[in-house]
Amino acid sequence: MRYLLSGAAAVALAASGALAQPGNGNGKDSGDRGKPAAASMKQVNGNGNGNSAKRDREPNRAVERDRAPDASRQRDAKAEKSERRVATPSLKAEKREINSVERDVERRVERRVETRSGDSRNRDGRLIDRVVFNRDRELLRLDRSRDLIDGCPPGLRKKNNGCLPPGQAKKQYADRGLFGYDYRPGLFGLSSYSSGRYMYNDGYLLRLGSGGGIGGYIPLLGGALSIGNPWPSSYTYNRVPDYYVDYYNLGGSDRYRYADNVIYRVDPEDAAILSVAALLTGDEFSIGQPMPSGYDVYNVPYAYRDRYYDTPEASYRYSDGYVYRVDPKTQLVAAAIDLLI
Amino acid sequence: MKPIFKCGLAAIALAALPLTSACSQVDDQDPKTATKDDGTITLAAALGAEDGMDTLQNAITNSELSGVLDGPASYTLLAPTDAAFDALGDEGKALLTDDQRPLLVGLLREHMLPGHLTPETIEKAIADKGGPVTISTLGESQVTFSMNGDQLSAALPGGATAAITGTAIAANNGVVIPLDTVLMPQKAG
Repeated sequence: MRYLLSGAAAVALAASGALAQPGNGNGKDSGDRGKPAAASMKQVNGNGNGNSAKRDREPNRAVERDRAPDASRQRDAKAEKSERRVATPSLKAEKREINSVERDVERRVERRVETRSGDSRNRDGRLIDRVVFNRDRELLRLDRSRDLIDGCPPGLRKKNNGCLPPGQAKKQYADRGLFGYDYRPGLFGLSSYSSGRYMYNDGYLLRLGSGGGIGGYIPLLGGALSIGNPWPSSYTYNRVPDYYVDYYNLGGSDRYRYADNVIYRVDPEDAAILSVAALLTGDEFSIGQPMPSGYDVYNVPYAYRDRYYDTPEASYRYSDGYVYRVDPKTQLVAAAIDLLI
Repeated sequence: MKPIFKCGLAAIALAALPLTSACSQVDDQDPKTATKDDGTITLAAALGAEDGMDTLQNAITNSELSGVLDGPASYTLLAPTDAAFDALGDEGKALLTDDQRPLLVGLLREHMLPGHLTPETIEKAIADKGGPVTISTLGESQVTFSMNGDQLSAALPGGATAAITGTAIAANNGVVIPLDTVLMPQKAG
């Protein structure tokens, strides 16, 4: 494994060396406020002791601390607290950690090489930003069409009432919900489900079937998906892609789950929900396609505004961890920019 | 602490007055409402620095979204004041109970926008476009911003309309923009 990591280190160094050149671009790069580009040199130590992944992210964290000292401290404290919930590491756990390090090294090298191949250049051939391909954004597409979970939520199932809506929920449906709302997935921030007759009960959104019974259900953020609750076994999720692991400073993809435009931190041992790490819009930006509606205003994050600002030739818009370059005349998306490089 | 903060803010605003009059295109003309830029604090801290936002702070804590406002990603929070929540009456109080927390989360997501948006950049976009602009939320909808005279306002489709009041604070991971009304979504989907 040491050889494997050393080999990966060599590739990483080569890749990072190649990526070090773009700083001499067209001047926009001068506004880079110490983002994690420099981190690439320290990413791989190849000692195989299971700690290198943590060290890999230290440069990232250092940058974040500069920008948000309070936030970082709180994050670290939360992470420490959650770590305490995990039992003393066994040999098996160590092996798992080492494997995780290998995967981490491999994906980082792979992503950087891939990113390098997607460099965007201006007319003079100089690098102006880095364009990423769609692989990491694939999960946004995967999550856009979801199905309800069949049957009854656990609480109602236990009552063995034939999966009928509970009396209180029936009354709520008849009376409408709070503020006179018709309950619908969108009221709870859910955009990937079909319309229909829904009712809310005890942390779940219930879909009424044609026979008056419950045709399916959705666990809700703040309800069944509250902190401390176990992840509902039937609630499908996607693995958080490498880019988001790094961008949202998550620390390890096995500890996070993505579902319905929410990234949850979960306990790797018992899959209990530990926190809500990020909310996403799920809006679809496809290169070469029109920019989705809802991005009329320049919204690039604070740390990148010196680098990506609107000009007559290019507009920049932020969504779900990426900055997109858009042609102001055609409104077509020209590039998705990796903010981690 | 807050009076000191306010005095500091007033001093900064007064000092900036000649500058803002010289740069009339983008900057807010009214020093009372110009966005306060503080890259040393997080969105959560910015919300804490706003006056009259206790209800919203409690709502965010209860809805378990606090970590999002302290994270590395950038969001703009449309922040209804305590008076705005009070105006919802008993149903507003019920909204803050544990049983209704999923609905509260959905409502808060409608008040969160991706990225770093200030009232000034929104006003400029409205001026450039010559009419209302829309911004995607972290919920199901898009917020429409428009100008009514000198007043910037925000509205959900078929839902409530709110005026942008007070001073926005731009933090290192987003912006807090005060609203005088809670943006309740439309009743039927």
